[in-house]
Amino acid sequence: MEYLAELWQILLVVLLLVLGYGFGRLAERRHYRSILRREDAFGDLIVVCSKTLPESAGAPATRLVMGSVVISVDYFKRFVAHLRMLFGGRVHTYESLLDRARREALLRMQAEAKALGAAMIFNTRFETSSISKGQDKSVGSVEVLAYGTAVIP
Amino acid sequence: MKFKNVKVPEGINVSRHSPLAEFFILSGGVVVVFGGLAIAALLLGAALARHMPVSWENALAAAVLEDAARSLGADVDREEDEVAAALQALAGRIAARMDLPEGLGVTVHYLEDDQVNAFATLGGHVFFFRGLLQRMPDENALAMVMAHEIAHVANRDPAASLGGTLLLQLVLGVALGSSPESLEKLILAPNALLLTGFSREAERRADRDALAAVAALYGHAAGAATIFEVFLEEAARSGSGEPPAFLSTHPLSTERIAGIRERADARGWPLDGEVTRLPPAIAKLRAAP
Repeated sequence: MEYLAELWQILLVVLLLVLGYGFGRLAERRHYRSILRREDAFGDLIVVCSKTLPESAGAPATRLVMGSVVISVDYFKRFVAHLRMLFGGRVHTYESLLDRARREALLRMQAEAKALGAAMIFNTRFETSSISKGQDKSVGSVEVLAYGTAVIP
Repeated sequence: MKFKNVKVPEGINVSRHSPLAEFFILSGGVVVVFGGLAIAALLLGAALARHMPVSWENALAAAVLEDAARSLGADVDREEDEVAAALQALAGRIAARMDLPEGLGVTVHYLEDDQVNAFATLGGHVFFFRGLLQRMPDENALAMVMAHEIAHVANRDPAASLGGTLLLQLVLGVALGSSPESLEKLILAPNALLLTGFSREAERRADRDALAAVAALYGHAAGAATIFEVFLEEAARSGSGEPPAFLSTHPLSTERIAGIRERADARGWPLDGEVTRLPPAIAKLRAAP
């Protein structure tokens, strides 16, 4: 009956995939709703990546503001990404992950700036790094950092 | 310079796609590709191994056999044992009716274990367990089992099995090594099914060749299905029955019995006839506790 043990292992993988897919999509949809809501709320806080302030700004107070977020890959996304690694092509499953991470980081930076009373954020930059490598040397979770110069009038 | 925040347009950095569709298409691709590779490796390895010179097979057998037999409880040199001698005599009569390759002789070994089994390995070495011998009612039934094992030898099945699985392991090892670990199950999944399917085909062929040999030796095919009836009894007794066909290395016993009847009818071999008594040395085993 050794085939039973193999069968259980395969069923376990399938279960993880189903759970990953289900909970992954749920989490993603909720996150996007939250992102869209807050992007509307922060609409008046201008964020640009120009390096220098315009002459007309005068000499305002400036502060470094940061927003960072760590997002993890679910089992299903990682599995499909591995399949992609065999055949090549765009890894669609990671696209939404990174999109959410970038926008979330941006929103958190804006939140910090707003708390300081800023009107604008200049010289915005992004940094992405992988936090934990999974067991099989794949990306476990991703950290996105957004930082810039907040201009406080 | 005027700055203005605009709403982020969706769908640019994230492409519209169905993750489930992608999953099934890619997974299917992996199974097909690696399944195909596995089949090719198995068939090629088996074909190459079947053409291996008999002297190589004999040398290989000599190298591994002594250790293997000892661990099974057989004394490879105990030629004076009367059960082994009786089995060897029967093997000789049957082998004369079969097409053995040049240089490949059959050597029968007797294992004192209660397993109801017999098997053939490299170099024409065939092993019979006491458990099986005790359940043989007549020589005809025993001859069918003997002929089946000798058919494996004649068809070079042990060598083919070795070569096939060797090449398969090699190919899969390369495939697994270059793939992420999480896909291991997906790549190996078709493996078991392929191996067992391959094995079942070899078993069917051995059944056919054995039936022909037994019919030639006795003039009829009485007792040919006995061993499979014994297997069915054993399976029923153990309570679990036989494992499903597609996971098993042998066809279902019911299929094998039906196959024998069909073939005997087709070839005009009677399924009834006078059965020959077991050689005394083997008959004695049935009386033993």
